[in-house]
Amino acid sequence: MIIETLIGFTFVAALLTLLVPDEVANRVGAALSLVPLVGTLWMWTQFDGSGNALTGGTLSFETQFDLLTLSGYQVQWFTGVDGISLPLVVLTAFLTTLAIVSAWTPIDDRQSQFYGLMLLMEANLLGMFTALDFFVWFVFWEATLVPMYFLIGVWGGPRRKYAAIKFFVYTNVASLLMFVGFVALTFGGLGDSIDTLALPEVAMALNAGGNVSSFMGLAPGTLKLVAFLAMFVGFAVKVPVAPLHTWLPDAHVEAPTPASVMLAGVLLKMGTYAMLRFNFTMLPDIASDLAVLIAALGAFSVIYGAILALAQEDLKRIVAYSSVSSMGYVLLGLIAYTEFGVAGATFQMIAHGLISGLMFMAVGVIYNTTHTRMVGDMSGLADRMPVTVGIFVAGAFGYMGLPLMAGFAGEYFIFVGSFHSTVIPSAPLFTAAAMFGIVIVAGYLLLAMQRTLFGPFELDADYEVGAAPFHDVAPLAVLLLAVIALGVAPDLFFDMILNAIAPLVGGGA
Amino acid sequence: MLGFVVADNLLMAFMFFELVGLCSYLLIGFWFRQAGPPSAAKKAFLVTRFGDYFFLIGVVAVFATFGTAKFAGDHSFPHLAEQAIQGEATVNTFLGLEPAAWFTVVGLLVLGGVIGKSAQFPLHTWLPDAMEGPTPVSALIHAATMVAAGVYLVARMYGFYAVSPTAMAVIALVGAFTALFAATMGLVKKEIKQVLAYSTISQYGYIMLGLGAGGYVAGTFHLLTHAFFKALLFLGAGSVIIAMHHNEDMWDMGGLKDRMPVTYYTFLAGSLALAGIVPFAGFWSKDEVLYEALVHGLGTTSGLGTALLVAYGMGLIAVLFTGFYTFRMVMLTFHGEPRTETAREATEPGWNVKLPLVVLGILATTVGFVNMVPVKDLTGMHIDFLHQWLYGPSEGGWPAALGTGGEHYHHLLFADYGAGMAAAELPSYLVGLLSLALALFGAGAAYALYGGADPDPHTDKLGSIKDVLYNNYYQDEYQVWLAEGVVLPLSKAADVFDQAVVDGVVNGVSSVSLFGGSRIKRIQDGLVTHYAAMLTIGLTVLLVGFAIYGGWF
Repeated sequence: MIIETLIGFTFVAALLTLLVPDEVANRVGAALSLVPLVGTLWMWTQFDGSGNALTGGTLSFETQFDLLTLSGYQVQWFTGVDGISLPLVVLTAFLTTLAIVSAWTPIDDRQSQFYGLMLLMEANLLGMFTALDFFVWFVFWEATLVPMYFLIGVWGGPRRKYAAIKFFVYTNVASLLMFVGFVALTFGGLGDSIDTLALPEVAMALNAGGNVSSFMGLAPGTLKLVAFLAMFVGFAVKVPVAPLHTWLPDAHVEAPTPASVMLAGVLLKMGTYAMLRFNFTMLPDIASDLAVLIAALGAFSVIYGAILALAQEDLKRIVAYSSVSSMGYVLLGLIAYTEFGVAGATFQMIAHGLISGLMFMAVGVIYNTTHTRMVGDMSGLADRMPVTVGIFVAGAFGYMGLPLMAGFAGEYFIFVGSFHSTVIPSAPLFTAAAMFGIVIVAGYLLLAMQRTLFGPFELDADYEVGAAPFHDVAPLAVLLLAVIALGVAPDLFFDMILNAIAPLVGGGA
Repeated sequence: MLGFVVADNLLMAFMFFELVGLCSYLLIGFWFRQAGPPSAAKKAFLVTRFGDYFFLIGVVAVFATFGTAKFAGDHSFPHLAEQAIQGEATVNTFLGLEPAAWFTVVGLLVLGGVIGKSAQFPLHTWLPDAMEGPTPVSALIHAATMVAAGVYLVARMYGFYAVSPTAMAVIALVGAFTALFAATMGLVKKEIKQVLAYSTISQYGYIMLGLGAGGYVAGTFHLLTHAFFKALLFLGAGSVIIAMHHNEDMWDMGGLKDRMPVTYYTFLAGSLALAGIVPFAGFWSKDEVLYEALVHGLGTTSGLGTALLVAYGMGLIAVLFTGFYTFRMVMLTFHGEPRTETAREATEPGWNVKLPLVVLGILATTVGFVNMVPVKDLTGMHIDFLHQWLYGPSEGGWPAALGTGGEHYHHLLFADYGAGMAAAELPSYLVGLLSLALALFGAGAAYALYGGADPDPHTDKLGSIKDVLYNNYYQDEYQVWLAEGVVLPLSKAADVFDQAVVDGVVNGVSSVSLFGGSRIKRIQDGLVTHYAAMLTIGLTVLLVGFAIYGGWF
């Protein structure tokens, strides 16, 4: 029941925070967010699951009971974690607390609503990563959009309304597409052969083979293909996979820093997590058929995102486009269908969550101090804010995949995994093409750092520019430590991920 | 760096390789408040990153091919490669290549990292810029140790390269070309650290040449001696630069010999070693490199032999240039009359600067004695200690267990499934005499031209050739052009495309639906007669539709 307790507590915490006065909301929010953080860390220490949740593995912290019947299906409250979802659950709680602390400086009106929405989003994300019944999962999946919409639309920059609506409509239309795809596959294809939409049941029914019947004139194979494409496109918007990425830079640029942290750190992972659970676990044969296309999309996202990042003058846009690039690696790893490829992709979700969170926060701290994010407007910040700049540089090298930091581990696993993939034709060439991202990422980050952080100090400001306050820097330092810890000891998560991946790529149970 | 050296597998080596790259970046950018160092630091990291890109593909490929990245032992990838070529083991190969061809591809990929880190052509451009960093950093990282990581890696996985004649030829040719190419640029530089920077590139070229030419011992030997005498020269230059109040232009110096004797004599020892004058350290190692290139070039009949002979030729010409630029530097800095007030007033720094110079000066003079092959050949005394050390005990011991002994490499190089080399019979002292003569000739020419009290800038007589050399063959220009003239505009164009087309479609879809919505809403104008008309039309359309679908007509 720990999962339910934590989700329930976080909902209540969100409500409580909404009600307290604005002056204390920042501390109340941070304090309350510690409970799910401690709870999820406790889950991590107590984790005893094995195998994959969707292929009959043993779940940890499982709860399952019937809720109601809906058009012939039994809707269940069904939660639990395996080695894939637990790291994401921990990531969510960890980043939420840090994002809340990072909001103390920049958020100066309607604080109680802001922190309440942050906690509401956390509650929904925890539910989304742990729910294993499609109905409940989908409710949480959609419900995460709402707090993010308000966070961008109320506390965002000048074009916040445009960005918030674009984010909401784009991802919502994508969800609809995914929903139609899944429903066609289950209601239409599987029909009466299943009596719940519990994800494990659906996955096992599909993988057993021969269960899918024709639907609306589509032969079983075609139906699966259509469903796969609908779900893939739906999730690809969330990831985002180029060319479905254009909502992302707008959302990030307008969003307040803490919302950016959550958006890049956790919300993007919803897309790849769902792709792994739905597309790659339920319809592996279709995925294999489309491997060239998907691998090409992954490599394209890496290079295209990186080239776009190179053109940006706004630090936040640089980091935003680099997310497109990094998430391309995840896609490449997933389609590899090798142990290291898929597990590396899952690990990269965590690594990228931490590192992109770190970078957005660092840009936010610089913005708090300088009130600009434009590369051309400042230089030599290292002179005035040495600690922040030091962490910024470390984070940037993390992004470039410096060994002993989490990003290297994730990318390296993916490269090894995809290089000898038998699913992707000419896998070494696709891998080598995507790997060129590590050169471009160094190019744009080093260039931006040279121009803003180093050289003689210059900034058009009528006040004394000094070091950032402790509560701005502390979350950065904590994140950096986490990035290094995972880089030095990837096994903190990688072992359990491998264990949950093995059944998908033909390993043990 | 220590982590890199003791790494027992390629992945660990790569990781530390990258981490020393980070240290290098941070140290070059040490004076971050100025504009120059951060830019140089960025360039250094970026250019080496380009090489590391290929290296990382190589690491991944080694893992995917062999399932291991260990350097030594029966389950190491060089050993598996050797067995696979002989058909005694099966490994994964990719892209439909035979094992031998695939190993060559993998070896060349890893070589990308070597070329970047050891500043070989065409990725050498970062090293001269890296001299923006403090001089001790230049001495330690950009001359003696980190730059050595590249060539060390070749030596570390020598068994893997030794089975590929193509890879060996590429290593030798890249090295020899770099040695010659960098030496010509060193001829005309004004700043003392720039001369040393190009000299470093050139000397690493020799090491590559030695390794590629089958001189495993020769290459590592030159790596060893070069570390001492080049660190000495950089620290000596640092001492001069302190005395000159951070003016590095040699034309502002002159006559420092009397003002700073300790620096002068140690610097001279380093210069003699660099130029390869007997009996200083560089003579022994450089001559062994050239000797190996010549005998293997003459002995080997395949294309590799020709390649080695070409490489030998380039290496030999570079000896002449090395002697010249080295002594031009010595003459301009220390001899003649002081050409500026600062040089007249220069005082030697304290013992904290001089002591390291003395220690390194002694080593630069004597370290070559660990491997005097020509003397051994002349006298028959077994004094090639480094050779014996690298070959290890002939029976049992570590060479047999690890497969990394010189004996084994020699066997691989000469095996027909390996590089297929053969050696011609030539006395090593005769070959040594030839290059010694060239070095002396180069040094003598420098003395004649620049040894006077007030030397003229003779290189100006070269006219446009000097401009080309002084501007480094416009290598920097084309690389900067690639970055700023090609990649940046491309990214700007991609950005415009992304905003206008990709995002334009997205916004277009939303505009269309908004527009459509705004038009369709006019239907509901509140007039009951319109609604009634609509109802009627709708019903009619439905009825007709059903009628056709149902086949009533």
